[in-house]
Amino acid sequence: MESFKLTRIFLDGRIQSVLLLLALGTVPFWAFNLWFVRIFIIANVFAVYALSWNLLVGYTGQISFGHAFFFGGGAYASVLLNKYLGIPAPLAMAMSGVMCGLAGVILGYPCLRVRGIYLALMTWAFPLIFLGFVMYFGEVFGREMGISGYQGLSLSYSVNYYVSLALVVLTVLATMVIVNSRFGLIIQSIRDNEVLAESVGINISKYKILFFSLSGVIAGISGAFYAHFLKSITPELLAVDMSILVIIMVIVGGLGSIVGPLMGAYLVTFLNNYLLYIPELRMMIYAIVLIVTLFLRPKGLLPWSPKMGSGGGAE
Amino acid sequence: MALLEVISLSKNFGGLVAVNDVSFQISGGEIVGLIGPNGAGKTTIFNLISGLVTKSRGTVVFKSTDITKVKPYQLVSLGICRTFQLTSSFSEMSVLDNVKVATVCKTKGSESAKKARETIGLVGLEEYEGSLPGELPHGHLKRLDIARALATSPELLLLDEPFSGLAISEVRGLTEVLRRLKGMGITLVIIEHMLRELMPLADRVIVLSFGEKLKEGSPEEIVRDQRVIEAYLGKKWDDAI
Repeated sequence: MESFKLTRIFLDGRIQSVLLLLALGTVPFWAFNLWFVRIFIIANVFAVYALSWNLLVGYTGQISFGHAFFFGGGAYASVLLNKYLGIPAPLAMAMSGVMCGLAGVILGYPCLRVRGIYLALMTWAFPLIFLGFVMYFGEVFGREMGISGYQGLSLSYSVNYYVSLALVVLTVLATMVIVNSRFGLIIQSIRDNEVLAESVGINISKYKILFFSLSGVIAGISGAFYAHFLKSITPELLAVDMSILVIIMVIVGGLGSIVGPLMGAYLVTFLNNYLLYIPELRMMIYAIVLIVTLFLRPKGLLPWSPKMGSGGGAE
Repeated sequence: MALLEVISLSKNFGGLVAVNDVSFQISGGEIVGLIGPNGAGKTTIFNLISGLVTKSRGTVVFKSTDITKVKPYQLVSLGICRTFQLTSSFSEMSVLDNVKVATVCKTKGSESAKKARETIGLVGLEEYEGSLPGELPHGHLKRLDIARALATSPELLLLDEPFSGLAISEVRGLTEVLRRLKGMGITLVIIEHMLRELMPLADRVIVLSFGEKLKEGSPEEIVRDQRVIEAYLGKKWDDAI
């Protein structure tokens, strides 16, 4: 009986998330070297990015194949604000989040008219348009060479690590609050049955755009942090690979939960760093991981990753 | 004054005239049956009133407000809600959450759960609060449909074939629920093919055939009308009454 209770506690998504975040808080104390901490910082950034995609796709059911638009867009916006307008990096990061949120509202409108694969294709096109701007206005965006020579974050890896972890914690908390509130009920109803949701008085367009925007804010801030941490950015941040990477992270971890995308982001980031030594096989290996996951465990590799449940909310 | 006025409503799907110049009025507090053979345009009229399908011509007025171009979700705040012919639910949400989500546009916080529980009690699904819709038998899903619509606090409820697929005992139970709703002052428009159950319940019946209004009157008038008998009820009904 006691072990049954204990099992139930550990199956609670909130407990899992808290345990995972507590474990992550200890990383700088036992990390083997700075390279290891650096990978964890990047993993934290991708965890926030994955949570932003999961908020849109996992909870509202709006498929995005172009989330790199927000990630790369946030990175470029923050860097440009810092480099050309002299706005301090933390403020530039926050402003880039707001800008990505506004972009989410603007892009959310055309997305209302399409669903499923058509929505996926439309979102896939967004970062390509941005990429076109980057290449065309090369004096500003630096074309293929990208941008460098702007303000980075702290010189201390520990400080950078805890700031990135704070972003993860804030995103997890925000997601939990949202999915456990009345918004959680509303977005789950939209995901389950749009026509029925509208028939009981839910303005589905408003909530879809709201979550498109919210997801954009989070992805934009994660991209901005990534840019200031790496101290140089290239158009690769807007490439299709960046949109695919976040999908793999969430699908591998488990769509529609909180701990799933988190774990997926850490697993894939570490895998990614080892695959850097064989770049020509990297995407092929990701594709195989994705196919195997979808075939064998379509709800994610983590067997204990709980989905958004009843009771007005999530885990 | 009529609660709902449907004025010269028409709908064409390409060359097919699904609804042709249909007009009727619904008064507050009555139960009106909307009957007719398959393809007569009954569900299309519900879809037109509820804004799911755009009207080719005509006007819909609710409480003296023109709602012809009002969006489906806005109708709920005005006091109109509908159910669908096939049972539909939020499959990954419990029965309680299925109903609770329908309260969110009119109630806040703890009021929402209270209202949802009251509504679930009204249709007799208290035991199934925590169940998923997939775990409910068909008859209970029909009740869940009605509970969800009721949770929006409607003045006018449009029910599309609430008795379809139900056993006689389930129909009787649901009929009692609908009488209770009438007692609460809710106006009901019911599309139904199970006329033996509908006729004793309805104050008035509107008959549609090939997209046009064939007859409107009390259930007694309807079952004795020769055109209705020929178009829909058939000779057996004539013999039975």
